[in-house]
Amino acid sequence: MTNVVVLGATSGIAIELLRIFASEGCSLYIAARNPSRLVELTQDLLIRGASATYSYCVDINNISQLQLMINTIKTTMGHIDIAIIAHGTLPDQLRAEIDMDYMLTELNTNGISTIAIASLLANEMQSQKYGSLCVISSVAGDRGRKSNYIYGAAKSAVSVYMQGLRNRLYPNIHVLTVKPGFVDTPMTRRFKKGILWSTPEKVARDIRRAIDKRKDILYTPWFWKWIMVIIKLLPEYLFKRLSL
Amino acid sequence: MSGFISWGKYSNHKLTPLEFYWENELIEITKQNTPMNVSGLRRSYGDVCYTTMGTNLCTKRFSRFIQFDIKTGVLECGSGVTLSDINRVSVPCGWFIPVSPGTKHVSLGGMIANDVHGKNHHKAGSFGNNISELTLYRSVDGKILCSPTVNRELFTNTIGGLGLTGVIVNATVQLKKIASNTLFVEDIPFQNLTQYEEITAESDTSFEYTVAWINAHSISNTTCHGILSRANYVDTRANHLSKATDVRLRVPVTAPNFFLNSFLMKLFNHSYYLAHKNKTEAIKTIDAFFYPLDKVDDWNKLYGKRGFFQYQCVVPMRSGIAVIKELLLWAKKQGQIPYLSVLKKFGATPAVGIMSFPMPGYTIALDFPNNGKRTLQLLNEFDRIILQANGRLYPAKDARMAPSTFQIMYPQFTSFKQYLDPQLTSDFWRRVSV
Repeated sequence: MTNVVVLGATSGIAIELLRIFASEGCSLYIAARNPSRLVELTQDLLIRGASATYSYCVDINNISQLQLMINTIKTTMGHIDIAIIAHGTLPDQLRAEIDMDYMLTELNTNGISTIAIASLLANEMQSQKYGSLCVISSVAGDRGRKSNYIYGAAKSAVSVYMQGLRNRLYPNIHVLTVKPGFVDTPMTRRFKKGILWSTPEKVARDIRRAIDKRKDILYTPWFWKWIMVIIKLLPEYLFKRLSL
Repeated sequence: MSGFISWGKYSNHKLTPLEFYWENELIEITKQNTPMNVSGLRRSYGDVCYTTMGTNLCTKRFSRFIQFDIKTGVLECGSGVTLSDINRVSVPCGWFIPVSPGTKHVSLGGMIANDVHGKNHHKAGSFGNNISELTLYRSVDGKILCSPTVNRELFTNTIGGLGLTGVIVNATVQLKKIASNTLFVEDIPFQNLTQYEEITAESDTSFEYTVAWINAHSISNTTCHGILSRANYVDTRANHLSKATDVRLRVPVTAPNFFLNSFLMKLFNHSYYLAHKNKTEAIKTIDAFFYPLDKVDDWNKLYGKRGFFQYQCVVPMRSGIAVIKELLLWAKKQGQIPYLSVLKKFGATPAVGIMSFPMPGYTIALDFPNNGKRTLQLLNEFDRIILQANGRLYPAKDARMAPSTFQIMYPQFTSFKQYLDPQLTSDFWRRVSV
């Protein structure tokens, strides 16, 4: 039986991913902040086919709590086959430019906490000598632009951290960095949707496949890989003049 | 995010549905005090599932299972759960939706709000007959539990109530025990409508599911070629309840308007009949029998940019067949032969819903490409015929009937109005309620 741990389980992408794992009959450990949503979700996943579901209520920014959570998961499940870190917010860029407390909170939520929890999970997997660790980063971390560089900076830190981790844990542990483009989820509710937008179902299917194939970096949907190739190639003296 | 306004695609108006995941988000949204429409997957053909003025609330993400008792088949879930998901969960456990429409890409809330029917109407009635309880969220008085015993009036007005009595939050359905996930299907050809009447009458006693397809090109005073399909579950444990595998195709782009034309459809209808000219028997899976069109995603794009209308009416038993013949003859005379025609006899089980469409009689669904004024004129003429015969139209398929037509067909309209949630509306409702 496959044991799967998902943090930020109530996020749009995580819900769809969890439903895939549930239909495969996996055993699921889910963590998020809102207790009533966790209860609703565990019930849903059980009916959808999960062989067992456990939940843990946690504020992921409370870093001192995280080791306790990992210990609890470990005791309950025995081992972890797949761990996914999916929590995140989309900061209000303009507010983050003037309100430093807000900026730090957002950097913590989208960057530091992810790195902390990934480190703890990595150590756990290193001692069991197998496992897949999957973190949802973002295409926004590939290059900073004025409309959301606080978010981008946090995700960039995550992506670089994951590169190092992948290098450190090779070859036993699979480390996957997911870089979704625009996805229609609660996080992006206030945006106008267009042709480049994808659905959480589609992104979740891509992630599931990438875990099976032990991919290193996944751009989803696939065309973001090529969009980002171009964006990364633009020389800075040109890029700084653009409004993206 | 979907590109279409509703399944008929006759309008290119764009709308941005507002999705919600959790109940407290729904409550926040309803506080905004703007007019709202609630829909699930917008598979209704006409305008019951959207509003061009106000907010289009979409229940698609409100899709959590709450309870499923494998022993009793009682299922409770959020209104955005799709039939496809319900089948995926329940069929391997030996339970199936008691009444299934012709597509599984519908939401539980949509099935209740339109009180959908299926090929087993003669045995099981419509979907609402199988709902034991539902929760509404009303902008005026918050969350309300309704059932046949609690808040009965609100319950019976919500079933078939076109999503106008409140947002359907959760519902409990009694599923139906099935012996296997395969059906024994017989296809029986008929040459005229009298033969159809006889075969249906005979089949309805011994078969759980019956439906007929008609070649509308063949219609004349004495002939009407068609095929009646009838089916029962294969009763053997050997055909275990395996998970169905999906082979799916997709129509990638909207076809040019001329893609589906009367010549092609004539060819299709004639060859389809010829292929089934002799009685055939087959074992089919649930998916193959109930949802043949679901194999092709977005098949509505085949009609091109103009879109199409589906005209579905029910006519009381006594005059039913004669009236249906009149419709088909009239369409042929006008040179607008429906591309697809499906005929079914409704049984006597009364619907629970006050505004429900099904009633004892014959129902026919006819697909017409939207050729503008010509098509509308034809359908208006149909309305006249149906009104005269005391029949009625199915709101879930309608995009054009006149307010007076609706109000004569649904005289319960006046009493229904007192159960409306003042915040909820649809283009359909604004059109027919004036």
